[in-house]
Amino acid sequence: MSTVGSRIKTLREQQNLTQDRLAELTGISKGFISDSENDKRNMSSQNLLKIADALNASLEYLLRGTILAKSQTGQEPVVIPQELSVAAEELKLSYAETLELLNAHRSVIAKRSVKGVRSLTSADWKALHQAIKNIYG
Amino acid sequence: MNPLNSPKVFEIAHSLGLARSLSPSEAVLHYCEQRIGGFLDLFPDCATPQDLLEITKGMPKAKFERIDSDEDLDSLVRTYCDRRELAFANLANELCPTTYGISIRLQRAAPYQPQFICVIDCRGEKRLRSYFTKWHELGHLLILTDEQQHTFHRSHTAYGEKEPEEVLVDLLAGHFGFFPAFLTPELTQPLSFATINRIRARLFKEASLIASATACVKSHQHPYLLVEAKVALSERQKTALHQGTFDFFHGPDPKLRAVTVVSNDAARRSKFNIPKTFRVPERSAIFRVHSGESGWLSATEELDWWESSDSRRLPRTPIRVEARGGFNATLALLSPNYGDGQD
Repeated sequence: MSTVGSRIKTLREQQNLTQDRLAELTGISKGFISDSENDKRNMSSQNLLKIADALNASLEYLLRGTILAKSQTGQEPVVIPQELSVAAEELKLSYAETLELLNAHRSVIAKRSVKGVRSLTSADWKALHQAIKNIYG
Repeated sequence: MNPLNSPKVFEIAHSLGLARSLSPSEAVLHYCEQRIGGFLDLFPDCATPQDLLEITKGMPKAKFERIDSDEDLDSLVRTYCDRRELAFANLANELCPTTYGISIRLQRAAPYQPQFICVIDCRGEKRLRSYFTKWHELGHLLILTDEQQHTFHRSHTAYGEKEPEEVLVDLLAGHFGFFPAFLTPELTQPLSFATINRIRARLFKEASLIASATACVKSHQHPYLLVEAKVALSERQKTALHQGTFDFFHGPDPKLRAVTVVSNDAARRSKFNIPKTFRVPERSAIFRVHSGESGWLSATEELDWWESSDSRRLPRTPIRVEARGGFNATLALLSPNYGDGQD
């Protein structure tokens, strides 16, 4: 059965990191990392957080090994907002490009603002498209 | 209507499968307390809300990216756009002056990696709110169901200036950012700004003084008020100004007033209160600090010094006042003076 230690070891090896290098990245001793990988030590929250950061892994994955299954493409109906349709038509975007724009917007799941969040207008969709174009050409 | 009783908050409680016996916001708070309690069981060495923030961040698979300068923002955009995370292309536009933080679900993260990036804007004065902003963004993630982790995106249910979900998430941020399980045991002494700063340094060093003082006042078992005093108009003057009933030569004359008043349960029980917009008495330590006589003053005063624009006075009660100067406001702690030797 997979353990916290074995998950740390697997990720470290996947990323071609030696125990020495992980020790350097985290400021934790190599001996402690070695013991942890072999489940000989209990780890404090601080040390586990440091290792999670160094391995770019989520804490939940290291602790529980849980991986959410990605939703299967095509299962959810795609609804293109009217304002996006208008913008896409004017910009002559393909269906794939329109979906890409929609996904970019939907990736933003929340924001803390002192003003309310309003629906995107056609001009906002065009601005988003322009911002992406500015980066990717 | 209280935004916390809005259909949107009922919808959130329902999506989390919560019972209807509590109010929806209480049910959501209870649900989040159970989740956080689960994290604390996994990390019994967690002793401060600041540690709890780091642990909580890791459990809904989130990562904070802090921005202190425009260069940081450019670098962050480049990093994630190089990974084809298109939402970051528009980050500079999203982080307008009124936006403090933003949570983005990564499209291309490996399953073991953080799935959400919470960008915390700490440029300029926004830095003062970074602690609360982090908890606010985590609040959104705490109430995402597994299904929503794939499909959720922000909604646009206009509700005046602030949407119900934002109000709910602020409630969660205020609760967990100053988690009573950690804070209450610290509040055994009378409150002062020095005490609050000591508690802040120990428990939530990233939080602002005003947020820390608010939390300490709310959680203290003795009656306290936290007053923020600024030069402002009375409610009546504001109305008259909006209606244009002042003439050219007799415009409104702003005075130093209590613009924000935070009270606690003990103060409410003992009816110890100063209504908002009451004028600060000129002989009060608060007035003297605000006028620059000193950066800090403590004094024993009388509550009936306080009066409204229409000359209503508060009851005669001896009070202790500690005032501390700020950028454009003065903060003050007030408590009834029981002659218990606090002097």
